Amino acid sequence: MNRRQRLILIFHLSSFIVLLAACARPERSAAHFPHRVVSLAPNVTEIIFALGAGHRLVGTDDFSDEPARAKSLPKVGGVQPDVEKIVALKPDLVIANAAGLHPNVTRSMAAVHVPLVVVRNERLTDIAVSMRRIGAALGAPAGAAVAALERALGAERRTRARSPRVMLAVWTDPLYVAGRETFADDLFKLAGATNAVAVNGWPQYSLESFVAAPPDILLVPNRSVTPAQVEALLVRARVSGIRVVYVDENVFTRPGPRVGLAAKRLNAILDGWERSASSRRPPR
Amino acid sequence: MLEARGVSFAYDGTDALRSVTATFGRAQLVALTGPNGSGKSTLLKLLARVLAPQAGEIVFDHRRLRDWPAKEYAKNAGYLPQDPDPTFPMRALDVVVSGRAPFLGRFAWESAADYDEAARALALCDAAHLADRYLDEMSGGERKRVFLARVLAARPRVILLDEPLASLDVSHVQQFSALLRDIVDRTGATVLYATHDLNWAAAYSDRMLVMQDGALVVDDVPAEALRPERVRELFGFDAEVIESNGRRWLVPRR
Amino acid sequence: MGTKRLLPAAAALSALLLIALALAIAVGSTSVSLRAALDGDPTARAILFQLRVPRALLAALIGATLAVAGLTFQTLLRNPLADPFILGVSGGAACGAAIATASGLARIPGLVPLVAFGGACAATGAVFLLARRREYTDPTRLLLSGLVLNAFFSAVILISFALSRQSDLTAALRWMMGTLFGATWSDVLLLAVLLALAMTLLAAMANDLRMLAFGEDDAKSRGVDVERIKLAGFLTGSIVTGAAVAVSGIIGFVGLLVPHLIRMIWRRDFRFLLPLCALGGGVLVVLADLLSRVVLTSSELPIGAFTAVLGVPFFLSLLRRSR
Repeated sequence: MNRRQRLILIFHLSSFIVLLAACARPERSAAHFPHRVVSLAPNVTEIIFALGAGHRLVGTDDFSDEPARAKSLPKVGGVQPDVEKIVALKPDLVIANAAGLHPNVTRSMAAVHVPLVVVRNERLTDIAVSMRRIGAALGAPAGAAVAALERALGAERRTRARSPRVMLAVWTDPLYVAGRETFADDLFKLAGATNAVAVNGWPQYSLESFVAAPPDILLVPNRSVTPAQVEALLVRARVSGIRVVYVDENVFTRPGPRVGLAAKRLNAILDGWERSASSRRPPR
Repeated sequence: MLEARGVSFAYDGTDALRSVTATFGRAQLVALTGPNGSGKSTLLKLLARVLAPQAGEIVFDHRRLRDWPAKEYAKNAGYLPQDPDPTFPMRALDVVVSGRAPFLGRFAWESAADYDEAARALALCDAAHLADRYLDEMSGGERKRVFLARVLAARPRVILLDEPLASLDVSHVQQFSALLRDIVDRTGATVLYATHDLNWAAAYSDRMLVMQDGALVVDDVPAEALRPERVRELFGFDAEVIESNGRRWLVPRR
Repeated sequence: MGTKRLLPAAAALSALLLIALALAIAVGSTSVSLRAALDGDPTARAILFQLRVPRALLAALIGATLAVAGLTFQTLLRNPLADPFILGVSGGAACGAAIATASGLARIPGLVPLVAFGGACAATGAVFLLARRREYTDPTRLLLSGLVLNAFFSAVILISFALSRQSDLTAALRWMMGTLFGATWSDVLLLAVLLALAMTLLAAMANDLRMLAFGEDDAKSRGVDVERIKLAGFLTGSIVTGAAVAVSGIIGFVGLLVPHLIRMIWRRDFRFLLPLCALGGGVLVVLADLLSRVVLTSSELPIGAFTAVLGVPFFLSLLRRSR
């Protein structure tokens, strides 16, 4: 054969070999994927259910309560999970959220040879990443759940003429708030609002800073904080004109599949505020 | 046997002892007197190797003290500081047997022989009946005797006592002084004890050392040490020494 | 003669310790059968041999360490109120741990204990530098320096708490209250080696250490190198306490109470009390840890609460009887 024919043959042979190599990668059979999973965080539990793998959960932390089925699963503890209880459930995988994970849990899991996957959920974009990681670990495809999440979030993207100043307080005495570079902050930006807090993280916020730069809207989780506590804060700060809104704690402080709901609720709150604000303010 | 050669010591710049020289032989009961702050305790501490002289030498059995291994010297010289007060309550016998510590090795316990020595020492101090009592259940005089027994348990050749008679009532002062005399006479040890009490010192001791401002000003037998002109010069009052039953007493004139 | 009386006492306490350990291994938040474990059930084996046994052993080691350190400091300082933490060890360790936890670094396994240990060593060094003057370590200055340093560290800890995230704060507080949560075999090995070294050193110094009870001058006159003994004793006690605190946080009362309890029952000197304190401390902490695990069904209570709850009534009853 001539040179051109030889080249074509080599090309076809090599692509065939590459294809063969790709196909030869062993398909992980369903039997190797974990079937007894323990979740150590409520958002992780929600992600697992969203991926359609909820039936594989054999235990969760004390705070996992969504969806309703999660409530009836055996509980292994809260901030400091009971490792004995975890082991007694004979899990083949434990999944935890990085924030609030006690370092000794990592060591104990290693000591008893139980695989542990730790996911990060600091920012809004981390949630999709966690879904994919958990999906990979469980052998459950995450595409649909991620797409649903992104659709829900995309639908709530807004720009507003005058960006309302929002603050999410997780505790009032002392005042702990959601700062910049958190998933709450990402939610605010998505809905066209601005975080009234100028520092990063989840800091303790001074009353002075609160008074110096008060928000237009103060979001308060409905279960941890009582109206009396909010009253006390506002009285001490001697600031008026702040709209206080109680939000579902499980949706607003859990970076999980239901953040779309949080975004939707946030937009409703902001729309409402804009309407009443424009009717209140005299035209400039 | 034990010599101090021109020893000096200063605490943080304050002179406590200035070039003191004294020699101590066998079987002597030596009283060390002088006003407060004259350097009595410091001299005793130097001889006991609690402090090291900043000038001069201390020599024991022709060897410099610093050349003696600490535990070896401790077997030969016993020291009793002022107001011993162990932190935790202990039984008298255990207190006394701890005086045998210089003889024990690193991981060793006291042997039956050590306990025998302790019992013997207690008997010598007329305190055998106190052996099983705890220190906090005893009177001051009884405690002092137990601590003396502790020093004696090691059978030292030199016994250094800092104010052993202070705060004892008079019957105990007499008992203790007689006991010291007895120990010197029976065992041949040399006892050097600091005291304020000139009279009891004069009554029992073979020799009196008087210190003043860190210097040794008198080193003589009691009759000479307490000559009237000396007494007037050193202590500022007129007195004379009377003798009775082989014991001396200082009687003030005014 | 001393050994004759020590052996029965040590045997009695050892028996108590073995009973306590057996209880601690048998009882927990889940019910596990030893039979199943021996037959090879992996879950039972994991729970018993990877979780309960190391935790029980670590509790015993921590208790022994703190009691021995407490005894050593009480002897060296000639002060019955001394405990292993007064020389700033606890403050330094807690400060290191608080800063590490409060800045969110706690998720790196092994970092918090390392920083805590470093803090303990730094504090010990600082206290010594402050208290030593021209080759002489003044016990009073040591105590004062330790007190002052502990106060300083408390301030630093409070500041780091104020700056921290709420979840990190909870973790830091729990550490400071003392916990054996997550004990592993490597913790056990580390502390066992350190404790063995420390006790060997202390046993070698024991004859000299007990002479300190009569006063430093008295001890010197009996041939004890007092400065060397003090230095070696303080360093040994501080380092081994630092290691214990690094592993399990601050567990109070043990170092103060156990030496007193042991001394009240057997009124002997340091040589005698050293092994007995180690055993007694082990018993107390093993039992306290057991209680802290089982009183609440689903979580643990801080162990420091139980060392007090167990130790104090026993101590009071002994106190009344001895008067």
